[in-house]
Amino acid sequence: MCGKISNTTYSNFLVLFDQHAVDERVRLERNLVDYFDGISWKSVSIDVVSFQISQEDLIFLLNNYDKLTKFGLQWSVADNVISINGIPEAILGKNPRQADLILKAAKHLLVELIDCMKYAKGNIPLYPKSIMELVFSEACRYAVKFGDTLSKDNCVSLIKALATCKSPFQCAHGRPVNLEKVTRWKKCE
Amino acid sequence: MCEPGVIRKLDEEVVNRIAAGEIIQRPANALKELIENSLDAKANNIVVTVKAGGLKYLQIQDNGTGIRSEHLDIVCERFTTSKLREYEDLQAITTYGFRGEALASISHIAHLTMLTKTAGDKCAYKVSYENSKLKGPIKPCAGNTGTQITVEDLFYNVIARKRALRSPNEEYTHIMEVVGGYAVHNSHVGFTLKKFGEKTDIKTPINSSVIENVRIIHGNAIARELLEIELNDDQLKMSVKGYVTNVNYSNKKGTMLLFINHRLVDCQTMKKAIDSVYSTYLPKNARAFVYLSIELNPKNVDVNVHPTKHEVQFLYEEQIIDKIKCCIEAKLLSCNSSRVMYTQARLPGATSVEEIVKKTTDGAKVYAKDLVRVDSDTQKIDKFFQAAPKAIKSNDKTGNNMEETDIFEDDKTTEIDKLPVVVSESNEEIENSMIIDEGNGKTIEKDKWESNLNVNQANLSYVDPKESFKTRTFKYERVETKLTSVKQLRLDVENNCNMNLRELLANLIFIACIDCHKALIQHSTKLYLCDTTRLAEELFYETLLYDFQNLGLIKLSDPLPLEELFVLGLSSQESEWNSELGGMRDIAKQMTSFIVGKKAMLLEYFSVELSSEGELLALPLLLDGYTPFMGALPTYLVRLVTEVNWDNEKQCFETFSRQTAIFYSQPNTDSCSDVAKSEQWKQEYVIYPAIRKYFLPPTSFVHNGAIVQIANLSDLYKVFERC
Repeated sequence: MCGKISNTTYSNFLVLFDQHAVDERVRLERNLVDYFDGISWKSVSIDVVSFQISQEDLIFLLNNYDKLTKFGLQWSVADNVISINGIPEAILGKNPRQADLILKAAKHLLVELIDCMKYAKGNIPLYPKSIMELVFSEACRYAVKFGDTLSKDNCVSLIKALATCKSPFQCAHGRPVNLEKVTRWKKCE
Repeated sequence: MCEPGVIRKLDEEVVNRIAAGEIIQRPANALKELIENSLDAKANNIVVTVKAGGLKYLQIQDNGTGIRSEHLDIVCERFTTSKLREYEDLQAITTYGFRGEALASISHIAHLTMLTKTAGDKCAYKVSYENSKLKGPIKPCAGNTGTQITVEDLFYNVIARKRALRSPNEEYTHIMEVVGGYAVHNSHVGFTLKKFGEKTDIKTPINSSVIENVRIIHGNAIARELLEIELNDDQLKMSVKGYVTNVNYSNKKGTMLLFINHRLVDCQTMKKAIDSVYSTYLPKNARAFVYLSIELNPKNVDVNVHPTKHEVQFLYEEQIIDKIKCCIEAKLLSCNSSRVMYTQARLPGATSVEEIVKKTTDGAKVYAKDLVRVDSDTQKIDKFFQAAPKAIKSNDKTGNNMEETDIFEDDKTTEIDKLPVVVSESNEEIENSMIIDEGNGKTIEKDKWESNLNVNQANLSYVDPKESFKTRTFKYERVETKLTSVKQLRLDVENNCNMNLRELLANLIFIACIDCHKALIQHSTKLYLCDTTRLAEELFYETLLYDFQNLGLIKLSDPLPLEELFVLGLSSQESEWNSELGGMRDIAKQMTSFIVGKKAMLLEYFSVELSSEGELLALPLLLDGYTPFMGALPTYLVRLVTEVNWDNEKQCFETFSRQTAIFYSQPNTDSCSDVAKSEQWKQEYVIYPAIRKYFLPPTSFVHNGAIVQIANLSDLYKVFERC
């Protein structure tokens, strides 16, 4: 099993941790704190990217300028062309990422936000899917893999870091797996 | 040029039928209207009976205020209501109904019968309606206070609609949703939903709680993960109460029960917003269970948007949704500081084992997660070798080496000859070496197996649990016991047997020993932790009952003096010794003479051989190749005298078998590696094969932790499949 076995206090419990999921969760929460301060997403400037956008969408964008800046988007409009010169740092990522992936994500984010404004009466989720997917995959990709051998110190620091997480029982993909199995051992009479 | 069409005023009946079609789109809508009427009438118990998804028959019985008899003639007419007087009232509406259309609509598209009685009336009145008019006279009859409305043949005159409603089952699901929703929200009201002539599907008690009703309707998996939501906002004039599941629960479908001013409504924007909160925490495409009751200033809500009142519009939607979102999010994060783990003392699969097996044996496509990679019939080579090297020790005390042979009484052996299968097992010789250190009473015992044991179920393929009864009876038909008490005890065992567990154990694959008390077994795609000692105890108990009068003997090479054993047994409980009872030696003497007095019966029924001089000559052979841990012998003998009820025949057999089973199930807990090895060998090759073959597990094992499921392949697949 890929988990790590721990029995810190000598109780009746055997707790298995999935090392990948633990590291993934720790990384996810650390990164997220850097990217998002609870109100707005941190923005980074990039070289200007421009593309065409429909008149209708443009109106939505202009009407909700404030909201969009919260997502770390910086942009200007000329005619029907939108020029983006700032994107949320989360899309850029901490580790190198392909340029076209970043571009695609930025566009997706824009589309997603416009859709929200159109169909959900302005209710924009705090964590847009297009950003979160990238944050998740970043956490997953650089986390410890199954089968990687961890030293005891590594394990200890991982578990300690997990203890500080906000939702330590889910991996980044929401699987309820960090604490794999808890089995009560009946004391031998 | 076409002629312009002629504008005519529609016939009233046509108008009504069109309107009815708007309001009553399916049986669930009719039921919703009727439940709301009952709730408006202050009922606290509502019983719904349904036939064919409500299309044939839909009855709702409440114990509300009833309808005054003088109003019965107009109650079904359109735009008659007791809930609204002026249009202005609509701005602050607090009752469910207000348009006065529901009953009228139903009466236009179905046969409607009403039985109603107010508290002041002397009797109930029964009326039938057609097209919102009375059909026949009002008949006085017997009835309880409240109203009973029966709707039959819904849509009988709207054929197209009737055809469009696909299946009664689907309609019934909608009805369940409506009743379930209102039952959760109105937890003070008792709801009952049943299909006509069948058992009740939903039944909530009067004055129950929201959580309790969620448990009843949606199951414990949801109820135990609920978080309470409470939110008040003066600025928006809003108060929210509700329960949502925490991040530990997720489901593909998800449930959203949204009540705005107590009205069950759909609100897509709210739904999307809440889903987006959960999407950060739940697996992809999984949803939560959400029950929210939002109370807004009635002035800010427009309920008159949709004919079925299924949608409402309210002011400040964006801000309200935003507030609720933040509240749920904060709640979800705050609850993560701890997590309740549920220990499984039961077998989650014990009720559905047969189904799984059927699936895997059907030969249909097997998914990787269902693939069983080990064969329960494969044998390992070390089965044929005793694991513990015992030669050195036993050779040191060659004087104590002895041979023991099972001896069957002559009459039985002849009978056995007719059954060759049994013969090969019972004629087997077992060499036992025993080192008895009488100085401190500690008995170290070593077993030696002369030849391969005939625990021969290698040819067993899938064992049908039902067959196992037959194998049992077949084997033990050789000597029929005539004692009803024993038959009764056997019957008890059989009645108490759990078929699913039996199937599980009959097809078990032994994985490994954990220690002398516990072992891991696999069945199908699941891994179980078994309490070997407890299993063995039941196994030996059953063996004693089924082999009653047929047990083999383990002859002791040197007879053991009973008195000494009793003294040993008593002194092991020295701390509890009550000196008033007299000297230990005296008691031991009394015990010896007592037990020797039973010697004839013990030998005949249980193969316990005692000499009249007070010596123990032989113990019963319960399982070929299995000898009990002799260290527990003194305690066993003491308990035979103290714990067995010797006065009543049935109880005597039962308690004697139980004590003997406890004695036989005790493993040698010595941590010395040789002993541990031989104990584990015994578990793997003697106890578990016997369990596979005969054991009838009692139902209590499902719950008491004797067998616990610790892993399931398909769950592991779910866990480790990702990204």
